Amino acid sequence: MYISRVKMKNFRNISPVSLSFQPSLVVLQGGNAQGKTNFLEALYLVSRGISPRSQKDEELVRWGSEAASVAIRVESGGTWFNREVRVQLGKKKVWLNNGHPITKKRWQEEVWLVGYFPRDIGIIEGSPSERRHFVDEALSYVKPSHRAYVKRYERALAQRNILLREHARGDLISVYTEELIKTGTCIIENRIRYGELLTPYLRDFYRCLGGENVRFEVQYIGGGYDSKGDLRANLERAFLRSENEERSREITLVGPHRDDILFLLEGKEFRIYGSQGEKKSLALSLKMAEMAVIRKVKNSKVIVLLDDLFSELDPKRRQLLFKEILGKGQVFITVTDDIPQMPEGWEEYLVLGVQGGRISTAGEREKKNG
Amino acid sequence: MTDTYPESLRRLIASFSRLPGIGPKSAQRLAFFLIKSSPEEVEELVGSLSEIKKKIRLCSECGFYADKDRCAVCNDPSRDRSTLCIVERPQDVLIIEKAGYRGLYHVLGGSISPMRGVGPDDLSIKRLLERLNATGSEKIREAILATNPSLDGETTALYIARKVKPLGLRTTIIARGLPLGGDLEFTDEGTLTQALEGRREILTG
Ligand SMILES: [Zn+2]
Repeated sequence: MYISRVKMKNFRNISPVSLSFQPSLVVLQGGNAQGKTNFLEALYLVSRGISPRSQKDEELVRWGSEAASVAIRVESGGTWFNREVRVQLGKKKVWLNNGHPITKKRWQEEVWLVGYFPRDIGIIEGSPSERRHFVDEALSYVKPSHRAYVKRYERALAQRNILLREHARGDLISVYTEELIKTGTCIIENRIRYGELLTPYLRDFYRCLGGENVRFEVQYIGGGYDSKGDLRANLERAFLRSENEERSREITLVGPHRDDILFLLEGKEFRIYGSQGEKKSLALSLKMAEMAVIRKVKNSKVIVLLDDLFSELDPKRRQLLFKEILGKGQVFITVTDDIPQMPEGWEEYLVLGVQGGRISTAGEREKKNG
Repeated sequence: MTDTYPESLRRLIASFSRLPGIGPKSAQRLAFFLIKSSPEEVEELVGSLSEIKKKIRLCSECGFYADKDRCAVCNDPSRDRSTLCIVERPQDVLIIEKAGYRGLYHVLGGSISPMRGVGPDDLSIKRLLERLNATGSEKIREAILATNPSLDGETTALYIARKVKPLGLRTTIIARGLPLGGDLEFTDEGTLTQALEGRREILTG
C-alpha cells in the first residue's frame, strides 16, 4: 500500500500542488514554518480522518480561501482507490471515496498510515487523557467498533453527570451506572488486549532507540477500580464504594474515562523521571509499535510519516530505525538542513523542496553515494 | 430567483420548504404540480390538511394517532390483547406493524435523555404501568420493549424493565441484530421481523 498521487488545494499555507510518488522514500526539505509539517498533516488527515494536531477546521483552510481539499490515490494489492477530504468554512468536512461522498467516514477501504510528530511527546508527558486518546484512536483504527463503544460511553457518562448535578433519583442514575459498567467493560477489555498486542513491539523499539538492556514495563491503571480480574465485578464494587462521593462531588468518578497507562523504565515512571530524549524515544517507539500492530493484524504495508526527527537521531539509531521501516512501506520524512546520510542500500529517494508553502520537485530523484 | 414569482406562490413554496426532507427545489416542484392539478384535487388536499389539526389526536389508551378517542389498533377486536409492544414514537407503530406484530401498543412519546431535559415523568410511563397493572380481560401477560437501539432508547428500556419487573409479567426486549446507535426508521423490515421473533427476556440486574 502506498500513496501514488496527491493533490492539495488551499490546505493551510500549501500552494496548490499535484505530485506523484513511488512506494519508497520521500524527503521534504525546507526551513522551519515553510509547510513541511502541514504537508504531512494533510496526508494524515485524508488517510486517517483526523488531524494529528486536532485543531479547528478553520485553521486547515488557507487564509482568505473558503475551502481546502486534499486528495490522494492509494495503490493497494494491484488496484487503486481515491480518497478526498474537503474542508469548507462553517460546514462539515466532506469525505469522498472514488469521487462519491461517504457519510460518517465509512470508508470502503482503509489507508494504513502512522505518523510521528514532535508534539507526540505529549502522549508521554501530558495528562492521562492524551494517553487514553492515543490508545482509543490507534485501537479504533484497526477495530472501528471500539469508536462506537467510546461514543456511546461518552454520551452515557454525560447523561449520568447531568443527573448527578441535578441530584436526580437513584433509580434513574443506576440505569446509567449499569450502562457505564456494560459499555465500559468492553472499552477496558479492548484497551488491555490492544496493550498486550502493542507492548512487545514497544519494548523492542524502545530498546532499539533507547538502550538494549533496559527493564521496560507498561501498566494499565483503572480509574477508581481494579483493572485486574473480573472487570464487571470490580466496576460494580467501585461504583458502590464511591456512591456517596459521587453524589457530593456531582461527577462520575469510576470508569475507563479516568484510566491511565504508565510507562516504566527500570521501575520508574517516564512521565516524571524520563529525560526529554527518553520521552521522545518512547513517543516514537509508540508510533512504531502502532505501525507493527497494523502490519500484523491487517497484514498490510503501512505508510509512515516522520516529522522533524532525523536531525536528532544519531547515525546508529537512524540506521536501526530505517532497517525497520524502509522496504516495508512508503516513508515520508522532513528535514530542515542537509539531507542526512542514508543507510546503505537506500541511496535513492525523492526530494521535495518546501519554501513558503510552495512544493517543488526541483531536486527530482536524487542519487547519493552512500 | 423566486423573487419574480407572485407572492402567493412564493408563500406556498416557503411553506413546503419548512417540511422535513423538502428542499427548495422539491418545494417548487410540489407547488408547480398543484398549479397544474384540478380544483377538486387541490380541494381534497386542503380538506386533509385542515382535518389534521382538527381531528387527529393521540389515542387515550396507547398514544398512537387516532381520529376518535381510541385508535384503530385499540378498537380492533381481532388483536391479541395480552401482548403490549412499547415504542418511542407514534411512527414506530407502523414499522412494528410491518414486521407482522398483532398485539397492542404503548407509545412513550420519546426517550429519557437528561441532556435534552427529558426525564421519566415527561414520558407516558405512569400510564404504561397502569395498563400493565390492569386485571381482568385486559390483563397483559407480555411486555415487549421496542425502543430505538440507541443509547437513549436502551437506557429508557432498562429503566422501564426495572419498573415492570415487580409486576411479575414476562418482559422481553427485541433482539438487537441492529447496528450500535441505529434508528428504527432505518431498519429494513426483514431485520425487524427477525428481531421480534428473537426477542429475549431482559436482564434487569
Ligand atoms: Zn390506541
